[in-house]
Amino acid sequence: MTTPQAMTSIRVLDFSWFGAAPIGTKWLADHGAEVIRVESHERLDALRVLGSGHFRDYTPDLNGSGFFNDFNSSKCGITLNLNHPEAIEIARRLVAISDVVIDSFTRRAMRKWGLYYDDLMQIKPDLIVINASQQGHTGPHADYLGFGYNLQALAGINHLTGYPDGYPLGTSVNYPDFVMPMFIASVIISALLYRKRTGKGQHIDFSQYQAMVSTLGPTVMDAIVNGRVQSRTGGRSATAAPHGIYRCQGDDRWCAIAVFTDEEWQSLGRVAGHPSWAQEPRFQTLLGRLEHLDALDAHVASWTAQHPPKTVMAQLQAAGVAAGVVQHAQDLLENDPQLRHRGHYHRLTHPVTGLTYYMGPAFRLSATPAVLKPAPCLGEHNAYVYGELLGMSQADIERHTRDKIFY
Amino acid sequence: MPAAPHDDNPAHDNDPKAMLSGYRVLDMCDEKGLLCTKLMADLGAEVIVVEPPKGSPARSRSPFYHDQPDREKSLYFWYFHTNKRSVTLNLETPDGQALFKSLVQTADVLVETSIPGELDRLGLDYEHLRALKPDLIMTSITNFGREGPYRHYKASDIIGLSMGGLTYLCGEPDGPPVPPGGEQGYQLAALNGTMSTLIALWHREMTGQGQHIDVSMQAAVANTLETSHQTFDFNREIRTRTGHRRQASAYILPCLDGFIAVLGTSRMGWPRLVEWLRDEGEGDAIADPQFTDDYYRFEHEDVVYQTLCDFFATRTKQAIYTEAQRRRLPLAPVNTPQDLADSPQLQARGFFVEVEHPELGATVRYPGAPYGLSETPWRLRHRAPSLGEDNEAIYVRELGLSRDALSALRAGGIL
Repeated sequence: MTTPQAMTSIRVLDFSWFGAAPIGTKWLADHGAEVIRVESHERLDALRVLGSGHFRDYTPDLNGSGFFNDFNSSKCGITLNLNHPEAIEIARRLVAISDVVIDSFTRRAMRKWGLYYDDLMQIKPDLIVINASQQGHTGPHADYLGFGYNLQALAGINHLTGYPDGYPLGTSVNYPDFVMPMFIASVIISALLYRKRTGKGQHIDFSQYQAMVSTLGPTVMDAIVNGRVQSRTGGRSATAAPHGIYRCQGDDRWCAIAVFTDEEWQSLGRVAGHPSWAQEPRFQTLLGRLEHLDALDAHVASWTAQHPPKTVMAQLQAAGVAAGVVQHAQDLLENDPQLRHRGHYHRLTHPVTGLTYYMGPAFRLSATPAVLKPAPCLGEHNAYVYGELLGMSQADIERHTRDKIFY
Repeated sequence: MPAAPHDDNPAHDNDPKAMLSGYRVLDMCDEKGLLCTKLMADLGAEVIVVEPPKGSPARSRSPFYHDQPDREKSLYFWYFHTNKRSVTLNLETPDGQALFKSLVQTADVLVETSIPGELDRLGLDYEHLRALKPDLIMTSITNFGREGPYRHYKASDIIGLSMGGLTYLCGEPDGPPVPPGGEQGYQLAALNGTMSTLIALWHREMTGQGQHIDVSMQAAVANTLETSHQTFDFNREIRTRTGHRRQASAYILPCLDGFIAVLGTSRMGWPRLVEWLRDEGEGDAIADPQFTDDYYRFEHEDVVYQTLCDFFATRTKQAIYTEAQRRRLPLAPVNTPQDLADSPQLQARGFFVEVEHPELGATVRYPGAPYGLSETPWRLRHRAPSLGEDNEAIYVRELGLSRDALSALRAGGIL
């Protein structure tokens, strides 16, 4: 018996690229939606070609990019060269059989191709169209260029990440690319629910900038209402101490610790073996600890440095104190019993990369869990989409391929 | 346009034109779930926050309106509870549990963040609630998941960010890891709560079947690590933090009035960046076309870094942003929260919304919608509810509790 999938009745035509929007449609595809990812050799998704570490043995291969594959699991992949005049009519036929159309270009590209919302709703009036651009399709910066790297700076994440006297570091990943997908998938399904109730489609003018800022509401309101410009704290908290990242035994090994109450502080002292610093009167109250943060952190680190991070975590957790290893990729993939228990990473066999890990959703649905399939090779599903879905003859598909329309 | 003042008539609370109108969501969330239910409330769902009699812990979170620490003036609570309603209920008491069960029977969705096992103890776990409401969707957002060896581990934002692997990727390469700011661990968990709940709602619309959803904050964070797992899987290389010098011409650099994020790594980007410097009479050290080659540029990273440092140090964020974008270069300012509040793009998009707070005689500016919607305009209908503001509307007018019973429950510490 096959597992039921939640989104099987939905078809998404996906003109997006890079991270944010493709991951959004990945989550829909992993839950059963038929997502048709439109690509072209003329305009390759950079994730198929950039970088090296996410290729097996550092050897680039158009179909072997872990970067691309991870974000495009469970999708159908077709090639369609939108710069070829005959391609637009085929794109329009695909629109006619889809429920949702998504792109992540600036407004200029889709307008140029005649594939903007006003054009598309003539084809299918109840269509849901989402433009997942960086800054939205209106306003003075609508056509500004950007990627996740810049968006985390633009949207305030960099300013809030780092040490007070250091650089506004942000993360070493294109962080917003991993926050946007949940916004995008959620608003798509909400529009589908509305369409089901009313029969009406919708144009969603998504702004990655706005969505990212909307995760920082209280911080922005503190500036608006109180004139206070919050800044980076290096992991320290105004209401908990000790609170931060502490060096442990090993090369580049660390543990996060968060002590909120005096009882938790006493528990930490017990776990550390009742050292004299844990008994110091100035550390016995929250206010005292907040007042002497440098000394406090130095003492805690002097204890953690003598133990592996997993020991620190396990002992503190056993004593009721929040603590967690600063885990890296190997920890997560090989040494984390919790993620293993959840089956978080899915191992799938891909024709080029062989057996490899894909990220599964951060949630488990009891009745309709995700079922992942490997990402498509470039144009892998041309025969299915053009032949079966659009009813084109084998001869036509061959001609379009030869003429670099399916390219 | 100012949003309408709060109105406790449920008929008025529902906006039939909104995407999620008609759905009732019960909200028993701490910080891991507040954004989850806010997104649904702002899309038109009727979200009822079920608070303990002393109030949701979020009411004591700073910042406060004009720095007045008062449970009705937390900006933190306000922001995450727009468009929501509030009832109070002590779930430790049999009367409270009975009322909660009546409430569940009127709801489509329950979102909760309790410690695994806590609701079982109260007889309010999914199996019990499903017996009362077979098509219920229950979304449980926890630190590590409802099952598994770490299910009882304590965690706050920093623990989730660290166990999920993002902290390791933040910081300078030769320094300690530093957790990202903005409580992103909580927000990632909450956003996965929204997405999974909506997937389940769609399934219920198609089949009539409800289900239980198990969201893990740790797993939510683990899905932000870009190529980390593939890089380890393919090559056994552990991706680590890159700090403010990510690679040659992807930098965070100081400028005259703050910092700027520079990205000139692409085939198109690098020549445009060099041309800009040349037009300003600078950048001789990187003018050699050999720098267009990634590997050459990486080998001479120090020259690239120093040249760009010198160039941007004398210019302002705004001037850099405007000129870079004119030249089709994807540079961006490192915005502070004040810059966000002042952003001309956010303002032109109508992102900020004035919300009336009648009891303060004031309107307050809130960050608003993540998106523009053509058919169902996003609306901030009303401010966050005061504690138990909707007790009477829900318990008396809707569930038919008598006023005497309401008074008794209040006196007994149950509401």
